[in-house]
Amino acid sequence: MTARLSDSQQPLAQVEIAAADALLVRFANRIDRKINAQVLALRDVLQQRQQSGQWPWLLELAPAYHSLLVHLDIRHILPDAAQHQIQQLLAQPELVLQLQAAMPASKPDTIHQIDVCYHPKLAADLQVIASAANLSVAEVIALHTQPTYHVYALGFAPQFAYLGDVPEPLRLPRLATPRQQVPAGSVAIANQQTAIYPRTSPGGWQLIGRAVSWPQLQAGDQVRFRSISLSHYQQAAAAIHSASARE
Amino acid sequence: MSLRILQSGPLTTLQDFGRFGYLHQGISVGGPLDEQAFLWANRLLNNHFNAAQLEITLGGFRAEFTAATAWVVTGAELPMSLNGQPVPAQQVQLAAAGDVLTVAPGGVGLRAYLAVAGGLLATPLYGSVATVVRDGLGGLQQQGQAVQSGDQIAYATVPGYRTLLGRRPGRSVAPQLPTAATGARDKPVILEVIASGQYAQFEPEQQQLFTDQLYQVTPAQDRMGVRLAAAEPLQWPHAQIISEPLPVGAVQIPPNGQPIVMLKDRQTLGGYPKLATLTWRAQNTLAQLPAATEIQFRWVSATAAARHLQQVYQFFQVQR
Repeated sequence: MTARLSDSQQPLAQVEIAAADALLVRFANRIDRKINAQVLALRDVLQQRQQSGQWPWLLELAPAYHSLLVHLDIRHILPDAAQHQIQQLLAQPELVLQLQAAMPASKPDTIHQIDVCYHPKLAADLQVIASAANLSVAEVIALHTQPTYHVYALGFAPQFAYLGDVPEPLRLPRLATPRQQVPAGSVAIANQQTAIYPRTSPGGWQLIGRAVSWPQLQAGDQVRFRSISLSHYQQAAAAIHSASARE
Repeated sequence: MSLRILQSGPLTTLQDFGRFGYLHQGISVGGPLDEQAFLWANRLLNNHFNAAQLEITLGGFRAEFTAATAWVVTGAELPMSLNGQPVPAQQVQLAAAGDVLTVAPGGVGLRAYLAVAGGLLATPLYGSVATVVRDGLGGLQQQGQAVQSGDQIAYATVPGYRTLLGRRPGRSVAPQLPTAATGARDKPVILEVIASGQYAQFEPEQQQLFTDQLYQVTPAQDRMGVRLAAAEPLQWPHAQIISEPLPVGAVQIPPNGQPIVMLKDRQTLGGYPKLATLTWRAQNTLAQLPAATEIQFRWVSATAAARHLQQVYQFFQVQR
Protein backbone atom coordinates (compact mmCIF):
# COMPACT_ATOMS: atom_id res chain seq x y z
CA MET A 1 0.00 0.00 0.00
CA THR A 2 1.31 3.43 -0.85
CA ALA A 3 1.97 5.79 2.01
CA ARG A 4 -0.80 8.26 2.74
CA LEU A 5 -1.05 11.53 4.55
CA SER A 6 -2.45 11.26 8.04
CA ASP A 7 -6.04 12.45 8.31
CA SER A 8 -5.09 15.42 10.44
CA GLN A 9 -2.92 16.81 7.68
CA GLN A 10 -4.56 19.18 5.22
CA PRO A 11 -3.52 18.60 1.62
CA LEU A 12 -0.94 21.12 0.50
CA ALA A 13 -3.21 22.29 -2.29
CA GLN A 14 -6.77 21.94 -3.59
CA VAL A 15 -7.42 20.90 -7.17
CA GLU A 16 -10.53 22.48 -8.68
CA ILE A 17 -12.15 22.39 -12.08
CA ALA A 18 -11.81 25.88 -13.59
CA ALA A 19 -13.30 25.26 -17.05
CA ALA A 20 -14.25 22.37 -19.33
CA ASP A 21 -10.57 22.10 -20.24
CA ALA A 22 -8.76 23.56 -17.23
CA LEU A 23 -8.01 22.93 -13.56
CA LEU A 24 -6.82 25.35 -10.91
CA VAL A 25 -4.50 24.10 -8.18
CA ARG A 26 -4.76 26.43 -5.20
CA PHE A 27 -2.20 26.48 -2.36
CA ALA A 28 -2.41 28.25 1.05
CA ASN A 29 -4.37 31.48 0.75
CA ARG A 30 -1.68 34.12 1.21
CA ILE A 31 0.89 36.10 -0.73
CA ASP A 32 4.11 34.55 0.45
CA ARG A 33 7.23 33.71 -1.56
CA LYS A 34 7.44 30.32 0.15
CA ILE A 35 3.93 29.45 -1.08
CA ASN A 36 4.80 30.80 -4.52
CA ALA A 37 7.90 28.59 -4.52
CA GLN A 38 5.61 25.58 -3.92
CA VAL A 39 3.46 26.63 -6.90
CA LEU A 40 6.53 26.84 -9.13
CA ALA A 41 7.90 23.55 -7.82
CA LEU A 42 4.63 21.80 -8.70
CA ARG A 43 4.74 23.51 -12.11
CA ASP A 44 8.21 21.97 -12.62
CA VAL A 45 7.04 18.50 -11.55
CA LEU A 46 4.08 18.66 -13.93
CA GLN A 47 6.28 20.00 -16.72
CA GLN A 48 8.52 16.95 -16.34
CA ARG A 49 5.53 14.63 -16.58
CA GLN A 50 4.42 16.49 -19.68
CA GLN A 51 7.83 16.40 -21.34
CA SER A 52 8.53 12.76 -20.47
CA GLY A 53 5.23 11.82 -22.09
CA GLN A 54 3.90 10.40 -18.80
CA TRP A 55 0.98 12.84 -18.78
CA PRO A 56 0.53 13.83 -22.43
CA TRP A 57 -2.76 15.51 -21.55
CA LEU A 58 -0.97 18.41 -19.87
CA LEU A 59 -1.16 21.26 -22.33
CA GLU A 60 -0.16 24.46 -20.59
CA LEU A 61 0.77 25.55 -17.06
CA ALA A 62 0.29 29.11 -15.85
CA PRO A 63 1.44 29.95 -12.32
CA ALA A 64 0.25 32.86 -10.18
CA TYR A 65 0.83 33.90 -6.54
CA HIS A 66 -0.70 30.87 -4.81
CA SER A 67 -2.26 29.00 -7.70
CA LEU A 68 -1.48 27.14 -10.89
CA LEU A 69 -3.74 26.95 -13.93
CA VAL A 70 -3.47 23.61 -15.73
CA HIS A 71 -4.85 23.50 -19.28
CA LEU A 72 -5.84 20.03 -20.42
CA ASP A 73 -5.72 18.44 -23.84
CA ILE A 74 -9.38 17.57 -23.84
CA ARG A 75 -8.87 14.98 -26.57
CA HIS A 76 -7.00 12.78 -24.09
CA ILE A 77 -8.63 13.33 -20.71
CA LEU A 78 -11.74 14.66 -18.99
CA PRO A 79 -11.35 17.26 -16.24
CA ASP A 80 -12.52 15.03 -13.37
CA ALA A 81 -10.00 12.34 -14.30
CA ALA A 82 -7.19 14.90 -14.50
CA GLN A 83 -8.31 16.38 -11.19
CA HIS A 84 -8.14 12.95 -9.61
CA GLN A 85 -4.64 12.26 -10.96
CA ILE A 86 -3.24 15.53 -9.66
CA GLN A 87 -4.95 15.00 -6.29
CA GLN A 88 -3.30 11.58 -6.11
CA LEU A 89 0.04 13.14 -6.92
CA LEU A 90 -0.44 15.76 -4.19
CA ALA A 91 -1.23 12.99 -1.70
CA GLN A 92 2.21 11.44 -2.13
CA PRO A 93 4.31 12.24 0.94
CA GLU A 94 7.52 12.45 -1.10
CA LEU A 95 5.99 15.10 -3.32
CA VAL A 96 4.61 17.00 -0.33
CA LEU A 97 8.10 17.03 1.21
CA GLN A 98 9.61 18.12 -2.09
CA LEU A 99 7.18 21.02 -2.44
CA GLN A 100 7.52 22.04 1.20
CA ALA A 101 11.28 22.17 0.76
CA ALA A 102 10.99 24.40 -2.31
CA MET A 103 12.88 27.64 -1.85
CA PRO A 104 12.35 30.88 -3.73
CA ALA A 105 14.88 30.83 -6.59
CA SER A 106 18.40 31.59 -5.45
CA LYS A 107 20.32 30.81 -8.62
CA PRO A 108 22.67 33.73 -9.44
CA ASP A 109 21.49 33.89 -13.06
CA THR A 110 17.96 34.68 -11.92
CA ILE A 111 18.95 37.73 -9.87
CA HIS A 112 18.53 40.81 -12.02
CA GLN A 113 19.72 44.31 -11.16
CA ILE A 114 17.63 47.01 -12.78
CA ASP A 115 18.56 50.72 -12.85
CA VAL A 116 15.73 53.04 -11.91
CA CYS A 117 15.63 56.82 -11.95
CA TYR A 118 13.56 58.10 -9.06
CA HIS A 119 12.86 61.68 -10.15
CA PRO A 120 9.58 63.62 -10.13
CA LYS A 121 10.07 64.44 -13.83
CA LEU A 122 9.79 60.73 -14.65
CA ALA A 123 7.58 59.51 -11.81
CA ALA A 124 4.34 61.44 -11.49
CA ASP A 125 3.45 60.09 -8.04
CA LEU A 126 6.86 60.17 -6.32
CA GLN A 127 6.13 63.32 -4.28
CA VAL A 128 2.61 62.07 -3.43
CA ILE A 129 4.04 58.74 -2.28
CA ALA A 130 6.58 60.53 -0.09
CA SER A 131 3.99 62.71 1.60
CA ALA A 132 1.48 59.84 1.97
CA ALA A 133 4.20 57.77 3.66
CA ASN A 134 5.41 60.79 5.62
CA LEU A 135 8.92 60.33 4.27
CA SER A 136 11.43 62.32 2.25
CA VAL A 137 11.98 61.37 -1.38
CA ALA A 138 15.44 60.13 -0.41
CA GLU A 139 13.91 57.85 2.21
CA VAL A 140 11.38 56.54 -0.32
CA ILE A 141 14.24 55.71 -2.69
CA ALA A 142 16.22 54.03 0.08
CA LEU A 143 13.21 51.89 1.00
CA HIS A 144 12.23 50.91 -2.54
CA THR A 145 15.81 49.91 -3.46
CA GLN A 146 16.34 47.95 -0.24
CA PRO A 147 14.65 44.54 -0.79
CA THR A 148 15.53 41.72 -3.11
CA TYR A 149 12.17 41.34 -4.82
CA HIS A 150 10.62 38.06 -5.85
CA VAL A 151 8.74 37.68 -9.15
CA TYR A 152 5.46 36.10 -8.02
CA ALA A 153 3.74 35.93 -11.38
CA LEU A 154 3.35 37.50 -14.80
CA GLY A 155 -0.04 38.76 -15.87
CA PHE A 156 -2.22 41.79 -16.59
CA ALA A 157 -0.27 42.46 -19.79
CA PRO A 158 2.51 40.69 -21.72
CA GLN A 159 5.67 40.46 -19.58
CA PHE A 160 4.10 42.45 -16.73
CA ALA A 161 5.81 40.97 -13.65
CA TYR A 162 4.34 41.25 -10.16
CA LEU A 163 7.23 41.80 -7.73
CA GLY A 164 7.09 41.67 -3.95
CA ASP A 165 7.36 42.55 -1.27
CA VAL A 166 7.33 46.31 -0.97
CA PRO A 167 8.51 47.53 2.48
CA GLU A 168 5.61 48.31 4.83
CA PRO A 169 5.82 52.15 4.77
CA LEU A 170 5.45 52.19 0.96
CA ARG A 171 2.38 49.94 0.80
CA LEU A 172 -0.04 52.41 -0.76
CA PRO A 173 -3.27 51.61 -2.59
CA ARG A 174 -3.96 51.84 -6.31
CA LEU A 175 -5.14 55.18 -7.71
CA ALA A 176 -8.89 55.71 -7.41
CA THR A 177 -8.98 56.48 -11.14
CA PRO A 178 -6.46 54.63 -13.34
CA ARG A 179 -4.35 56.66 -15.77
CA GLN A 180 -5.16 56.33 -19.46
CA GLN A 181 -1.45 56.21 -20.31
CA VAL A 182 1.41 55.04 -18.17
CA PRO A 183 4.75 55.40 -20.01
CA ALA A 184 6.70 52.22 -20.79
CA GLY A 185 9.40 51.58 -18.17
CA SER A 186 7.42 53.18 -15.37
CA VAL A 187 8.13 51.55 -12.02
CA ALA A 188 5.01 51.52 -9.91
CA ILE A 189 3.68 50.32 -6.56
CA ALA A 190 0.33 48.97 -5.34
CA ASN A 191 0.08 47.64 -1.79
CA GLN A 192 2.82 45.03 -1.30
CA GLN A 193 3.54 44.77 -5.03
CA THR A 194 5.78 46.67 -7.39
CA ALA A 195 6.19 46.33 -11.16
CA ILE A 196 7.65 47.78 -14.33
CA TYR A 197 5.12 48.64 -17.05
CA PRO A 198 6.67 46.86 -20.05
CA ARG A 199 4.85 49.02 -22.58
CA THR A 200 2.81 52.21 -22.57
CA SER A 201 -0.65 51.24 -21.36
CA PRO A 202 -3.46 52.28 -19.03
CA GLY A 203 -2.63 51.61 -15.39
CA GLY A 204 -3.78 52.29 -11.85
CA TRP A 205 -0.58 51.82 -9.83
CA GLN A 206 1.31 54.76 -8.29
CA LEU A 207 4.38 55.74 -10.30
CA ILE A 208 7.56 55.82 -8.23
CA GLY A 209 10.36 55.73 -10.83
CA ARG A 210 11.39 54.91 -14.39
CA ALA A 211 13.67 52.18 -15.75
CA VAL A 212 15.58 52.58 -19.01
CA SER A 213 15.82 48.89 -19.78
CA TRP A 214 14.89 45.67 -18.09
CA PRO A 215 15.25 41.97 -18.80
CA GLN A 216 12.41 39.61 -19.58
CA LEU A 217 11.45 38.29 -16.16
CA GLN A 218 10.07 34.87 -15.25
CA ALA A 219 8.08 33.80 -12.21
CA GLY A 220 10.56 32.90 -9.47
CA ASP A 221 13.27 35.37 -10.60
CA GLN A 222 14.78 37.85 -8.12
CA VAL A 223 15.10 41.57 -8.78
CA ARG A 224 17.07 44.39 -7.16
CA PHE A 225 16.57 48.03 -8.09
CA ARG A 226 19.48 50.51 -8.16
CA SER A 227 18.86 54.24 -8.05
CA ILE A 228 20.39 56.28 -10.87
CA SER A 229 20.43 60.06 -11.42
CA LEU A 230 18.31 61.90 -13.94
CA SER A 231 21.38 62.67 -16.09
CA HIS A 232 22.45 59.01 -15.99
CA TYR A 233 18.90 58.03 -17.05
CA GLN A 234 18.91 60.56 -19.88
CA GLN A 235 22.29 59.35 -21.17
CA ALA A 236 21.20 55.73 -21.07
CA ALA A 237 17.86 56.54 -22.72
CA ALA A 238 19.63 58.54 -25.47
CA ALA A 239 22.05 55.65 -26.07
CA ILE A 240 19.16 53.21 -26.47
CA HIS A 241 17.30 55.66 -28.70
CA SER A 242 20.26 56.14 -31.06
CA ALA A 243 20.96 52.40 -31.11
CA SER A 244 17.38 51.67 -32.17
CA ALA A 245 17.50 54.52 -34.72
CA ARG A 246 20.46 52.80 -36.39
CA GLU A 247 18.62 49.50 -36.77
CA MET B 1 -2.73 38.07 -54.57
CA SER B 2 -4.51 39.64 -51.71
CA LEU B 3 -7.65 40.90 -50.11
CA ARG B 4 -7.58 44.67 -50.54
CA ILE B 5 -9.50 46.34 -47.72
CA LEU B 6 -11.61 49.21 -49.08
CA GLN B 7 -13.48 49.85 -45.85
CA SER B 8 -12.57 48.20 -42.56
CA GLY B 9 -15.74 48.90 -40.54
CA PRO B 10 -15.86 49.56 -36.78
CA LEU B 11 -13.62 46.61 -35.83
CA THR B 12 -12.19 44.00 -38.15
CA THR B 13 -9.31 41.90 -36.88
CA LEU B 14 -7.11 39.15 -38.26
CA GLN B 15 -7.53 36.00 -36.15
CA ASP B 16 -6.24 32.46 -36.20
CA PHE B 17 -7.28 29.98 -33.50
CA GLY B 18 -5.21 31.79 -30.88
CA ARG B 19 -1.82 32.36 -29.26
CA PHE B 20 -1.32 29.33 -27.07
CA GLY B 21 1.47 28.55 -24.62
CA TYR B 22 2.32 32.01 -23.28
CA LEU B 23 -0.12 32.51 -20.41
CA HIS B 24 2.83 32.31 -18.00
CA GLN B 25 4.19 35.46 -19.65
CA GLY B 26 0.90 37.28 -19.29
CA ILE B 27 0.01 36.90 -22.99
CA SER B 28 -3.68 36.46 -23.74
CA VAL B 29 -4.86 33.79 -26.16
CA GLY B 30 -6.88 36.00 -28.54
CA GLY B 31 -8.51 34.17 -31.44
CA PRO B 32 -12.10 34.07 -32.68
CA LEU B 33 -14.79 34.92 -30.12
CA ASP B 34 -17.22 32.64 -31.95
CA GLU B 35 -15.07 29.53 -32.35
CA GLN B 36 -17.87 27.53 -33.87
CA ALA B 37 -18.34 29.98 -36.75
CA PHE B 38 -14.57 30.20 -37.26
CA LEU B 39 -14.05 26.42 -37.30
CA TRP B 40 -16.92 25.91 -39.74
CA ALA B 41 -15.48 28.49 -42.13
CA ASN B 42 -12.14 26.70 -42.25
CA ARG B 43 -13.78 23.29 -42.53
CA LEU B 44 -15.99 24.31 -45.45
CA LEU B 45 -12.90 25.51 -47.34
CA ASN B 46 -10.81 22.41 -46.44
CA ASN B 47 -8.45 24.74 -44.56
CA HIS B 48 -6.34 23.81 -41.56
CA PHE B 49 -8.39 24.56 -38.44
CA ASN B 50 -5.91 27.30 -37.49
CA ALA B 51 -5.94 29.13 -40.87
CA ALA B 52 -6.29 32.89 -40.41
CA GLN B 53 -9.57 34.70 -41.12
CA LEU B 54 -11.07 38.13 -40.55
CA GLU B 55 -13.39 38.66 -37.62
CA ILE B 56 -15.74 41.40 -38.85
CA THR B 57 -17.62 43.15 -36.05
CA LEU B 58 -20.95 44.79 -36.98
CA GLY B 59 -20.28 44.90 -40.74
CA GLY B 60 -19.41 48.16 -42.48
CA PHE B 61 -16.81 46.15 -44.38
CA ARG B 62 -15.80 46.21 -48.04
CA ALA B 63 -12.90 44.43 -49.73
CA GLU B 64 -11.69 43.46 -53.19
CA PHE B 65 -10.40 40.00 -54.08
CA THR B 66 -7.38 40.64 -56.30
CA ALA B 67 -7.20 36.98 -57.34
CA ALA B 68 -9.79 34.27 -57.91
CA THR B 69 -10.56 32.13 -54.88
CA ALA B 70 -13.28 30.38 -52.90
CA TRP B 71 -14.50 32.16 -49.77
CA VAL B 72 -17.16 31.95 -47.12
CA VAL B 73 -18.62 34.12 -44.39
CA THR B 74 -19.93 32.40 -41.25
CA GLY B 75 -21.19 33.61 -37.88
CA ALA B 76 -23.42 36.67 -37.73
CA GLU B 77 -26.02 36.88 -40.51
CA LEU B 78 -25.04 40.30 -41.83
CA PRO B 79 -26.37 41.51 -45.21
CA MET B 80 -23.75 40.59 -47.82
CA SER B 81 -23.24 41.25 -51.48
CA LEU B 82 -20.65 40.48 -54.14
CA ASN B 83 -20.40 43.22 -56.78
CA GLY B 84 -23.75 44.48 -55.51
CA GLN B 85 -25.54 41.11 -55.88
CA PRO B 86 -26.82 39.64 -52.59
CA VAL B 87 -25.04 36.42 -51.58
CA PRO B 88 -25.87 34.05 -48.73
CA ALA B 89 -23.69 33.59 -45.66
CA GLN B 90 -22.72 30.15 -44.30
CA GLN B 91 -22.12 28.86 -47.85
CA VAL B 92 -18.94 28.77 -49.94
CA GLN B 93 -18.85 31.26 -52.83
CA LEU B 94 -16.38 31.90 -55.63
CA ALA B 95 -14.80 35.24 -56.39
CA ALA B 96 -13.03 36.35 -59.56
CA ALA B 97 -10.15 38.83 -59.55
CA GLY B 98 -11.62 42.30 -58.99
CA ASP B 99 -14.80 41.15 -57.27
CA VAL B 100 -15.85 43.35 -54.36
CA LEU B 101 -17.44 41.90 -51.22
CA THR B 102 -19.60 44.07 -49.00
CA VAL B 103 -20.63 43.03 -45.48
CA ALA B 104 -23.18 45.59 -44.32
CA PRO B 105 -24.34 46.46 -40.82
CA GLY B 106 -27.65 45.11 -39.52
CA GLY B 107 -28.82 41.52 -39.54
CA VAL B 108 -28.52 39.05 -36.70
CA GLY B 109 -25.46 38.69 -34.47
CA LEU B 110 -22.33 40.78 -34.01
CA ARG B 111 -19.38 38.93 -35.50
CA ALA B 112 -18.95 37.47 -38.96
CA TYR B 113 -15.93 35.43 -40.08
CA LEU B 114 -14.53 35.84 -43.59
CA ALA B 115 -12.30 32.98 -44.69
CA VAL B 116 -10.63 32.31 -48.05
CA ALA B 117 -9.39 28.97 -49.37
CA GLY B 118 -5.93 28.31 -47.99
CA GLY B 119 -6.29 31.00 -45.33
CA LEU B 120 -5.11 34.58 -45.04
CA LEU B 121 -1.35 34.94 -44.76
CA ALA B 122 0.54 37.03 -42.21
CA THR B 123 3.70 36.73 -40.14
CA PRO B 124 3.07 35.06 -36.78
CA LEU B 125 4.35 36.40 -33.47
CA TYR B 126 4.62 33.97 -30.53
CA GLY B 127 3.29 31.33 -32.89
CA SER B 128 0.13 33.15 -33.93
CA VAL B 129 -1.26 35.98 -36.05
CA ALA B 130 -4.23 36.49 -33.67
CA THR B 131 -4.78 40.20 -33.08
CA VAL B 132 -4.93 41.24 -29.43
CA VAL B 133 -5.17 45.03 -29.52
CA ARG B 134 -4.60 45.51 -25.80
CA ASP B 135 -1.49 43.31 -25.82
CA GLY B 136 -0.12 45.00 -28.95
CA LEU B 137 0.36 41.56 -30.52
CA GLY B 138 -0.64 39.99 -33.82
CA GLY B 139 -2.34 41.32 -36.90
CA LEU B 140 -0.73 42.34 -40.18
CA GLN B 141 2.12 44.35 -38.62
CA GLN B 142 2.42 42.08 -35.54
CA GLN B 143 1.69 45.03 -33.24
CA GLY B 144 -1.93 44.35 -32.49
CA GLN B 145 -3.49 46.78 -34.96
CA ALA B 146 -7.00 46.12 -36.19
CA VAL B 147 -7.43 45.90 -39.97
CA GLN B 148 -7.38 49.35 -41.64
CA SER B 149 -8.79 50.58 -44.93
CA GLY B 150 -6.02 50.24 -47.51
CA ASP B 151 -4.51 47.10 -45.96
CA GLN B 152 -3.65 44.25 -48.31
CA ILE B 153 -3.90 40.80 -46.79
CA ALA B 154 -2.23 38.07 -48.82
CA TYR B 155 -3.66 34.69 -49.77
CA ALA B 156 -2.58 31.98 -52.17
CA THR B 157 -4.81 30.50 -54.84
CA VAL B 158 -5.46 26.91 -53.87
CA PRO B 159 -5.67 24.35 -56.71
CA GLY B 160 -9.18 22.94 -57.09
CA TYR B 161 -10.80 25.76 -55.11
CA ARG B 162 -13.75 25.77 -57.56
CA THR B 163 -14.94 22.40 -56.29
CA LEU B 164 -15.68 24.00 -52.90
CA LEU B 165 -18.52 26.09 -54.34
CA GLY B 166 -21.81 25.72 -52.48
CA ARG B 167 -20.49 23.77 -49.51
CA ARG B 168 -22.35 24.55 -46.31
CA PRO B 169 -22.70 23.05 -42.86
CA GLY B 170 -25.06 20.16 -42.33
CA ARG B 171 -26.95 22.30 -39.88
CA SER B 172 -27.13 26.04 -39.50
CA VAL B 173 -24.23 27.68 -37.71
CA ALA B 174 -25.88 31.06 -37.82
CA PRO B 175 -26.51 32.52 -34.40
CA GLN B 176 -29.97 31.62 -33.14
CA LEU B 177 -31.03 34.81 -31.48
CA PRO B 178 -34.37 35.91 -30.13
CA THR B 179 -35.96 38.07 -32.80
CA ALA B 180 -39.48 39.12 -33.59
CA ALA B 181 -39.34 36.77 -36.57
CA THR B 182 -38.65 33.65 -34.50
CA GLY B 183 -41.27 34.68 -31.96
CA ALA B 184 -38.89 33.87 -29.12
CA ARG B 185 -38.38 37.43 -27.99
CA ASP B 186 -39.87 36.85 -24.55
CA LYS B 187 -37.54 34.00 -23.70
CA PRO B 188 -34.04 34.65 -22.38
CA VAL B 189 -31.03 33.16 -24.15
CA ILE B 190 -29.73 30.30 -22.00
CA LEU B 191 -25.99 30.29 -21.31
CA GLU B 192 -24.66 27.06 -19.81
CA VAL B 193 -22.07 27.39 -17.06
CA ILE B 194 -19.85 25.20 -14.89
CA ALA B 195 -19.50 26.09 -11.19
CA SER B 196 -15.93 27.29 -10.66
CA GLY B 197 -13.64 29.69 -8.82
CA GLN B 198 -15.08 30.95 -5.54
CA TYR B 199 -18.54 29.44 -6.15
CA ALA B 200 -18.58 27.51 -2.86
CA GLN B 201 -17.75 30.65 -0.87
CA PHE B 202 -20.85 32.54 -2.01
CA GLU B 203 -23.89 32.28 0.28
CA PRO B 204 -26.46 29.66 -0.83
CA GLU B 205 -29.04 32.41 -1.59
CA GLN B 206 -26.52 34.11 -3.88
CA GLN B 207 -25.75 30.84 -5.67
CA GLN B 208 -29.50 30.43 -6.16
CA LEU B 209 -29.95 34.02 -7.28
CA PHE B 210 -27.19 33.60 -9.87
CA THR B 211 -29.24 31.17 -11.95
CA ASP B 212 -32.72 32.38 -10.92
CA GLN B 213 -32.55 35.92 -12.20
CA LEU B 214 -32.23 37.31 -15.71
CA TYR B 215 -29.39 39.51 -16.92
CA GLN B 216 -29.17 42.01 -19.71
CA VAL B 217 -26.17 42.16 -21.99
CA THR B 218 -24.92 45.76 -21.74
CA PRO B 219 -23.17 47.93 -24.35
CA ALA B 220 -20.04 47.74 -22.14
CA GLN B 221 -18.50 44.87 -24.08
CA ASP B 222 -15.49 44.23 -26.26
CA ARG B 223 -13.13 41.35 -27.05
CA MET B 224 -11.95 41.38 -23.43
CA GLY B 225 -15.27 40.90 -21.72
CA VAL B 226 -19.00 41.54 -21.52
CA ARG B 227 -20.64 43.35 -18.63
CA LEU B 228 -24.07 42.10 -17.62
CA ALA B 229 -26.74 43.91 -15.64
CA ALA B 230 -29.25 42.31 -13.27
CA ALA B 231 -31.93 43.67 -10.97
CA GLU B 232 -30.17 42.26 -7.92
CA PRO B 233 -26.40 42.60 -7.59
CA LEU B 234 -24.61 39.44 -6.46
CA GLN B 235 -22.96 39.77 -3.08
CA TRP B 236 -19.48 38.52 -2.32
CA PRO B 237 -19.36 38.18 1.48
CA HIS B 238 -15.59 38.02 1.95
CA ALA B 239 -12.47 40.17 1.60
CA GLN B 240 -10.60 40.65 -1.67
CA ILE B 241 -9.07 37.52 -3.16
CA ILE B 242 -5.49 37.03 -4.28
CA SER B 243 -5.19 37.45 -8.06
CA GLU B 244 -5.28 34.11 -9.81
CA PRO B 245 -5.36 32.83 -13.40
CA LEU B 246 -8.51 33.77 -15.22
CA PRO B 247 -9.92 31.16 -17.63
CA VAL B 248 -11.66 32.32 -20.80
CA GLY B 249 -15.40 32.34 -20.10
CA ALA B 250 -15.00 33.04 -16.37
CA VAL B 251 -17.88 34.96 -14.76
CA GLN B 252 -16.34 37.52 -12.42
CA ILE B 253 -18.28 39.34 -9.72
CA PRO B 254 -16.75 42.81 -9.20
CA PRO B 255 -17.62 44.92 -6.13
CA ASN B 256 -20.77 46.36 -7.77
CA GLY B 257 -22.18 42.82 -8.00
CA GLN B 258 -22.88 42.96 -11.75
CA PRO B 259 -21.14 40.04 -13.50
CA ILE B 260 -18.44 40.43 -16.15
CA VAL B 261 -17.89 37.48 -18.51
CA MET B 262 -14.27 37.31 -19.62
CA LEU B 263 -13.56 36.67 -23.30
CA LYS B 264 -10.39 35.79 -25.19
CA ASP B 265 -8.56 39.13 -24.94
CA ARG B 266 -8.93 39.14 -21.14
CA GLN B 267 -5.97 39.75 -18.87
CA THR B 268 -4.46 36.42 -17.79
CA LEU B 269 -4.78 37.10 -14.02
CA GLY B 270 -7.80 38.49 -12.22
CA GLY B 271 -8.53 39.60 -8.68
CA TYR B 272 -12.33 39.47 -8.59
CA PRO B 273 -14.17 36.43 -7.23
CA LYS B 274 -15.64 34.06 -9.82
CA LEU B 275 -18.79 32.01 -9.68
CA ALA B 276 -18.80 30.07 -12.91
CA THR B 277 -17.24 29.48 -16.32
CA LEU B 278 -19.19 29.48 -19.58
CA THR B 279 -19.13 26.34 -21.69
CA TRP B 280 -17.71 26.44 -25.22
CA ARG B 281 -21.20 26.70 -26.67
CA ALA B 282 -22.20 29.50 -24.30
CA GLN B 283 -19.05 31.47 -25.15
CA ASN B 284 -19.88 31.28 -28.85
CA THR B 285 -23.45 32.34 -28.21
CA LEU B 286 -22.49 35.28 -26.02
CA ALA B 287 -20.07 36.51 -28.68
CA GLN B 288 -23.07 37.18 -30.91
CA LEU B 289 -25.47 38.82 -28.44
CA PRO B 290 -26.23 42.53 -28.88
CA ALA B 291 -26.80 44.85 -25.94
CA ALA B 292 -30.20 44.51 -24.21
CA THR B 293 -30.48 40.78 -24.96
CA GLU B 294 -31.80 38.95 -21.90
CA ILE B 295 -29.84 35.94 -20.76
CA GLN B 296 -30.10 33.37 -18.00
CA PHE B 297 -27.43 31.03 -16.66
CA ARG B 298 -28.01 27.29 -16.36
CA TRP B 299 -25.69 24.83 -14.63
CA VAL B 300 -24.16 21.90 -16.46
CA SER B 301 -21.58 19.44 -15.20
CA ALA B 302 -17.95 19.99 -16.13
CA THR B 303 -17.91 16.46 -17.53
CA ALA B 304 -20.84 17.12 -19.85
CA ALA B 305 -19.23 20.36 -21.04
CA ALA B 306 -15.89 18.61 -21.54
CA ARG B 307 -17.42 15.70 -23.47
CA HIS B 308 -19.09 18.13 -25.81
CA LEU B 309 -15.84 20.02 -26.32
CA GLN B 310 -14.09 16.70 -27.01
CA GLN B 311 -16.57 15.96 -29.79
CA VAL B 312 -16.23 19.45 -31.22
CA TYR B 313 -12.43 19.28 -31.33
CA GLN B 314 -12.53 15.82 -32.87
CA PHE B 315 -15.04 16.93 -35.51
CA PHE B 316 -13.02 20.00 -36.47
CA GLN B 317 -9.65 18.24 -36.00
CA VAL B 318 -8.45 20.85 -33.55
CA GLN B 319 -5.00 20.15 -32.13
CA ARG B 320 -3.44 22.60 -29.78
